[in-house]
Amino acid sequence: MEGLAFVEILDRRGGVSARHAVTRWPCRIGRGYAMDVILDDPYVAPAHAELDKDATGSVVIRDCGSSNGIYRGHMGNTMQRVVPDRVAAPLGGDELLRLGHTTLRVRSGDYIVAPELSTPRNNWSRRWPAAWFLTTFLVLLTIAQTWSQQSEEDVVQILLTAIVNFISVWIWSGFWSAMGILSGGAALFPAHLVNGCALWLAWIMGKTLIDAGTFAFGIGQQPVALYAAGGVLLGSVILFRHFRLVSRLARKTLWLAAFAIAVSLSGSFTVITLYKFDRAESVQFQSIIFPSSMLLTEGMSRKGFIEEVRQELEAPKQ
Amino acid sequence: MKNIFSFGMGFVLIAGAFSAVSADTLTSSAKPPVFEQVRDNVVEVRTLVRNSDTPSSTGTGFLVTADGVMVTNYHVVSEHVMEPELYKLHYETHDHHKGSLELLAIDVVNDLAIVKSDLKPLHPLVFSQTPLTKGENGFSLGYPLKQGLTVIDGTFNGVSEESYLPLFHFTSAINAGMSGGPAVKDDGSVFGVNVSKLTGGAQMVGFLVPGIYAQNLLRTAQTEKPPTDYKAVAWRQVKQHGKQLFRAIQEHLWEAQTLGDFVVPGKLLPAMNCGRSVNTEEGKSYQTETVSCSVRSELYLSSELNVGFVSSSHAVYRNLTLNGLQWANLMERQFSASATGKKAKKNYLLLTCVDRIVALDGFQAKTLVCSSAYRLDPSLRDFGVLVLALPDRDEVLLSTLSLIGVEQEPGLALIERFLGGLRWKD
Repeated sequence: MEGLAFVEILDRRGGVSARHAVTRWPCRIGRGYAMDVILDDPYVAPAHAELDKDATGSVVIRDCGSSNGIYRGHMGNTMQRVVPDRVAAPLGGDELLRLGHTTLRVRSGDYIVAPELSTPRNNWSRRWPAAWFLTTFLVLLTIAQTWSQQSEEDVVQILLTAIVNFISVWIWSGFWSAMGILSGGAALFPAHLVNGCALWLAWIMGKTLIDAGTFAFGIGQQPVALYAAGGVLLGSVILFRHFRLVSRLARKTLWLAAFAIAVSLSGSFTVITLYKFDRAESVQFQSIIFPSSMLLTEGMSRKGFIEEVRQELEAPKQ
Repeated sequence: MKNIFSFGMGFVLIAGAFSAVSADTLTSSAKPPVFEQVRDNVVEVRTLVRNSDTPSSTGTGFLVTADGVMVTNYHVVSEHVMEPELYKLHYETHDHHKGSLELLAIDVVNDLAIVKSDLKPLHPLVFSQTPLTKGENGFSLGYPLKQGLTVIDGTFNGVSEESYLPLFHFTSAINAGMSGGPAVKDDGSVFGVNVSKLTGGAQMVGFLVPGIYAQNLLRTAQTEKPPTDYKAVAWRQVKQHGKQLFRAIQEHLWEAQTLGDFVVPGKLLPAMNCGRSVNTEEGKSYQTETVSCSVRSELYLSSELNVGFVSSSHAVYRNLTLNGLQWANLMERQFSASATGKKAKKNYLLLTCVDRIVALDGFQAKTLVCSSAYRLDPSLRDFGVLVLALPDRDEVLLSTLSLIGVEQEPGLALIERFLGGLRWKD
């Protein structure tokens, strides 16, 4: 497509929904059929704006007397109104223009675009085989967990737990798929399912490792801080991956959002747990039991243990 | 003549019927002389909410001096002791004369209290100077369950063999409301004070505080100035009792007993009662054998606080069919289930727990000690100890120890000794 410049009409997510080549100056923009760029927006005046080149060759815009005006600015900043009948500053290639309810961008014919992104060879994490594999693995793991916690065989309980877990992860994934559709994108259900299963599996394995580690080193009391930190890390990563599938906002923004939500959730869990510890009727000890072959430290002596209890009782309390 | 005789007989029968339906109930053995002798001296003691005069609890008291001094149980007046600004004490006689009571002395250990009324009995009750013999009959009087003044006969069975505190075992139907009432002989002299009955399905197993303790407390009330702070007195007595109890435990030679492949401490005190049970339900994947011991030494301080007793239990779990992972998970659940216990924040300070792997004699054990101090006296604590042998073998020991109302160092010394008494038989 050849043109002196290009007027791009942008959608809500910032993508280009239509692109018009400017073949002559001035270029008139409005809702009327005599315009060079016709905008099908009832809030745009029949003759709304005019693009032209100034003495220096830069593209400038003029308000042709619309009642809703023209606003200009960059993404994330407050837009400023273009004063009618006054010469405006030249337009930048990334600057946005707002006419009525339509967002435009004007780029010159020699605007330099960024190099292409490299396509992953195999988007396996977005495909059904990966989703089914992880879902199956998760269900089998929870079946094994439930079975290992039974002292009397109860097949019904095992199956019920597996079904509930299966449905839960599908509901989680369905929620994110719905968010994707509502934001104008695709459902990408298998990808969300992979994320959901990864979150659950990572939590199970992480908790098992923490439990085994605290037991192996003879550490008493629930490691609330460890669980909280793990929750933030895991939550941030998985939420970011969900957000990336749903939104085209910048990666930095999505990371910040994911981290903020993970901190809120993990922080709430930590506050609730610590609040429970602050009550006289709560118990605050580590109940994980393994065989002594998993110990990496020697057990304490009786005297040493009593001394530790004494110190704990005499320590100043808040 | 015949008509006069018939009329007279009829009058006697009718009079008899009327007396049978009076508010004061006679016993099955119908001993009018004792009842008539003592009934004017036995009153209902009520704890009322100050602002509204609503009854909060009731019991019985009996007059022992001509100027209206009475004996009752401590637990009957405990609400007034612990919260005097909220509760007051009142009495009502069998013929509905009412008045207020003033507290003069308390004995929390023997569950007794001395109160003063405005009554002026002509013939107050006297304490018996000669002891009863086992099998001798007596009578308990009181106001049970809003039934009016009631007298119940019973049999004296000597000092209770299963109580740490000295109590008479009296076989009679003592019911709620009769607490604090007198137990009298045929001649109307008092030999004991109603205090409690055994629950848990037992019938006709009642207990009395020996009269000598009531006499001692009466003497104290008559010779010493009444305290200004009864709550402090109660705590002092509780603390003293606890000191004696836990010192007695520490000085006693604990007999060891075998439980499966483990050796565990048995009775920590001669007065401790132990029971053993075996659970071998068919089809279950494991068996349990349990020994539980406790000593009846607790002092009732208030409805929320029973202080000054010890209990222990040992359970051996034998794995029959579970694999290693299931066995470890089962032990983990037993550990968690045994460790739960609520402490009301109103009465206790923050709970502190320490759990470690401890090397005991022949095995390693997950050992948990939790403790919380009493809000009203932080030098007193409750300790809960839980010991679980790590599931290295198919036989695992789970032991618990509860020390209620003990000072820190005696408590820790007992715990250390308890842990030392657990051993794996090689």
